[in-house]
Amino acid sequence: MHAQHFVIIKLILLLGFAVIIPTQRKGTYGRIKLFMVTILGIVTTLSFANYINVLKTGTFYYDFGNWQNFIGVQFRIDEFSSVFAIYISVLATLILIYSFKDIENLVSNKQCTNYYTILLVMLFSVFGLVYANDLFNMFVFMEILSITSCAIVSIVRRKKSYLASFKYLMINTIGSLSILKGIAYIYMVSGHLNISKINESMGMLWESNQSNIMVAIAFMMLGFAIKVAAFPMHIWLPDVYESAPASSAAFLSALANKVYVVTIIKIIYNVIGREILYELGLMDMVLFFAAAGIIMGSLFAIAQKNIKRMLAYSSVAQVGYIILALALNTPLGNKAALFHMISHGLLKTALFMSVGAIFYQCNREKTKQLDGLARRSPIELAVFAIAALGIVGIPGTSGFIGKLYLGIAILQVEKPLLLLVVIVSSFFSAFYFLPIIISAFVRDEAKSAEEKEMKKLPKTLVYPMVIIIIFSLIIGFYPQLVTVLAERAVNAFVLN
Amino acid sequence: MGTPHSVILLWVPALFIAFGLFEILIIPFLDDNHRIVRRISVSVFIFFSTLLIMLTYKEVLNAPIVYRISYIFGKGIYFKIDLLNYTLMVFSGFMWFVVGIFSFKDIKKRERERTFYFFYILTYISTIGTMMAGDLLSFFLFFEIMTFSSYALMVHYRGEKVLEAGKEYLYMGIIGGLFILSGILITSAYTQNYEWADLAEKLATPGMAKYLVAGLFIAGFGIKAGMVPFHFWVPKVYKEAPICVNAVSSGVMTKVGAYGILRVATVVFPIAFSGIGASSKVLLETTANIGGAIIWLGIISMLVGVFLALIEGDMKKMLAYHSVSQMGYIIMGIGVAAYLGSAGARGFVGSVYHMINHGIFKALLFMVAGIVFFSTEEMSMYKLGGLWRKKPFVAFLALIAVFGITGVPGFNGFISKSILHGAIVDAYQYGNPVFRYAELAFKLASAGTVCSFIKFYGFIFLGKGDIEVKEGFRQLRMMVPMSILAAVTVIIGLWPNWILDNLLIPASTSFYYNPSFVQQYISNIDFWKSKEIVSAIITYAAGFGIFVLGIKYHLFHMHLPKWISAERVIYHSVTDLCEELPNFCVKRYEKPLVFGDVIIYAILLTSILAYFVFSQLW
Repeated sequence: MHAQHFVIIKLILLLGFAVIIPTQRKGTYGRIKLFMVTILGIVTTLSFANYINVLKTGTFYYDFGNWQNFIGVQFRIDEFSSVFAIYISVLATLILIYSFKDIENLVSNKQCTNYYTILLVMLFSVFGLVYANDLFNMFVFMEILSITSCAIVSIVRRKKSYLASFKYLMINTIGSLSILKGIAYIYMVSGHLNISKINESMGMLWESNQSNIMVAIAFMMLGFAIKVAAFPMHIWLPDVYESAPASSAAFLSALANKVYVVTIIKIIYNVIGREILYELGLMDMVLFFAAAGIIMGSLFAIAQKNIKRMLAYSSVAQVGYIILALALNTPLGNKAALFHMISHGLLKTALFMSVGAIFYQCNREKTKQLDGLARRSPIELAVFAIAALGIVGIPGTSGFIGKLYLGIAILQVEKPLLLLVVIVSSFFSAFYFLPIIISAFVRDEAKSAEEKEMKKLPKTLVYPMVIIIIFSLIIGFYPQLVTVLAERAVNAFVLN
Repeated sequence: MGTPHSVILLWVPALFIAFGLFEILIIPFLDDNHRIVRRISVSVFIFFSTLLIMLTYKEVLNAPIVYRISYIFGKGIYFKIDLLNYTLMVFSGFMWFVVGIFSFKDIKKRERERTFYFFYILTYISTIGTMMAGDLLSFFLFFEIMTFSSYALMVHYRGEKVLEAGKEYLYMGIIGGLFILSGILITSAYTQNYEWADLAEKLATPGMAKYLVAGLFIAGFGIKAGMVPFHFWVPKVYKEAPICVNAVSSGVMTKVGAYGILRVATVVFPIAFSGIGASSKVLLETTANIGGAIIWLGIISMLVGVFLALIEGDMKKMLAYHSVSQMGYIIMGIGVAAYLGSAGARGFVGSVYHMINHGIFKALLFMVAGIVFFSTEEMSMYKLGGLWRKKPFVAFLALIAVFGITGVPGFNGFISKSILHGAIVDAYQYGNPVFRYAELAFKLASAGTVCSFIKFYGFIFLGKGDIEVKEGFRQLRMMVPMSILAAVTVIIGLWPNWILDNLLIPASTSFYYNPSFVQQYISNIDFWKSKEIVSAIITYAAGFGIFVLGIKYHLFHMHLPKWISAERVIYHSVTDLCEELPNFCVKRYEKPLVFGDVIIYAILLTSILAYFVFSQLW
């Protein structure tokens, strides 16, 4: 077998098992779980193998059915996408292991199998988005991703989650259509959908058809703003994260959200090109909205009473950081954005997992309900505390390094006001996380709560979050593990 | 000296941290059936780690020990032990050991004793870590760990009031940390090196940015040091914290803040005095300006602290305000050390010496207050009295501590206060004459201190009191650490030159202070013949005068108007904003944003397109 097929085998495996799962008889749920873990194990291995292969051979393109690339479906496999694929597959495996107990706790076994079918399709689309090298397939994968993620949100049969997923669907459709319109405008002038081809002719197109490309950029920008939930298009996010099961929320924030950021990076560098974006002078506007998102997201988070909803608003702020770093448009800014993306992915996943585990054990999800809980469920709350301190940016966690890089990148372009924004929002995040940690660890439990029995915490819930938090601590102390990879990846990406 | 010996010496930082982590890992496994093992392990760890550090004296005297740990935080961090932090580290080890013995009796609640010692050791390690740190990042790392772990110590006695006070401590700590982080970021934005030396380079740049950086660092460390106007957390938290935590916090942890200010203030000296080019002049000018500002900050802290202490009736709160005031002395000394450049040796030596002395007598005073509280259950000194009859030995120890803090000749406070007084005299002799007023303020603050402690001692131990003393309170084991502290107070007071000759004077010369100046003003000083004794007597007379006036006109029961409180102006305005604004935003904007999603989309799209159209037109 030729090494360049690894990527395709991954996708076929995911899609194939998504089809097989519903055909299984009843009562085989245990076997399905085993299947799932095996498949994701294989996928992870393949991702690593693929990365090694890319390191050996360099970037290569994969044409499906060997069709010529201006009409065919093409994947571009380079260091950037390979590194990111590893991140996705490792996190997906961990969240999957976590999700077994979490989902079983909320829905019936029959629905669980549905959940995993959808999940595999979703992972398929995530990998597709990472590798896709043509705009149309990018759009297709995006659509699959938004519909499947909508489905994993609404898996719990509650009015609230139906409403949330409906809102999610509607707004995301606007976003998708907006992106499609942008793609259409680009196609209109270039006659290509293949990203490499477009990029080749972009300089010429910019001379001749400026207005088309401008309109395309405007539509795409807003479309992606909706997709990554950037302020002020974040409105769907809190409802979705609040009503989704913890593992779905983890999938969304760790994978779906981040893969859209990856797509944005692709569009910026490979489709439109940094020079053109810079020339347009839009960056100040983006910086303004990112800064507004950071502040407003944190402020909204302080006022929330539900922990998951609070985490959602904190995500809005953190996405603001990533966009801010990208919009600085410097190498350091990119480094900060990539680092922050990975660090936030890990920390937010750990946070959602710990909140989910607390909910599993004692059905509590309000910020004021956690008094003294640390004595009875120390592991989840320790994970929660470390991850929360990471978001605040305490040294030793990955969040601190992310903030350090971001701060340095900001100061290099001489925008001290943005530094103030970052610092103030750090304080705000301390203000919404610390009361929870304090009340969980230091307060005494309310008398009435003590009598309630608590479920025993299964090991499959504990290990993934502990592993993730350890990852985050490791890259907090040794950030070069990520930055070296990220820098290499970006170089490979920019220099083609 | 054999090879193993020198290997151990060079590895001191790593060994220290490794042993510390090991000790931290052991404590959770020693449950309450093994309390004695736990206590012994805590004491033994602190004792031997201090001993380990002390062993390096000869090496440190030759050259600073530098120990690198590569790859952490990307570029690696390093530890550096020079004479200044050697002194402070040994001092903190001593304090932690002594207070540790006291805590065996103090921390009574058995079920949480384990948590207490866990964080006690963690705070110890991080405090030593901040002192050892050679670069800004590792300093910041340990500094933040110290904030969080000391928070856990402060709120050891749980309960709503304690948590409220603890929250204030934690938020102030975080705000301080963010100040320092911004300072670090601005310092190292261009070089991406996190060395203290980069700060010096930053301070050499023209423009106002350098003052901003220095201001950020000083504010960040000032919060930790309890400097006015960030002093309000001190009395509030100390009132609720256990006695032994007060002792280490006031004794050592606030000194970390002062140490940080000292580092910032003197960071430029190695560059400035190597005399390369014109930048050294700019550097010295900058330092002089910063130093002048620090002197005034110190003076204000002294006066405000003393004043607030005078009108306070609660023992612990009053001692806390005195911590603020004494930190003011130290900060003023640091200011002189920076302000006068190479002639600032008296400020440097005085402030470091006062850090040590203040730690010792203030810990002793807190312990006295603790014993009084344990045996009478009463915190307000107005309700106490006549305790010397029932507790003569405690009264004796308290007298030593009071003599220490008020600067009676023969006790340690006198020594460092004399040097500090000399420093402020230098400041107006060699610098700006305006510091003559600073000297007056210094004398006023000293007189206020005397008055305040006449009040303290008089109301608690003298006079007629009929307060019940609890029977069966066994204080014997608490007397051991207190006696040690009292003995050290007297020993330093009688033989001050030992510490000066072996630690502080070599440290000051390694900080590029003028050796002949040091020789003239510090080495040859004879404390028993100096004019300072006269001024000590005058100070006592003035203090007594204030006391009489205060009693006569009931000044000690004065209440300040609420609007003047720094807590209200600074802390509550921030927290109120953080609580009110989000609620307001959510009420006002969350719903409209949700319902207006499509409209927002349309508006943004139109505005971007409109922007494009207009940018094309022009």
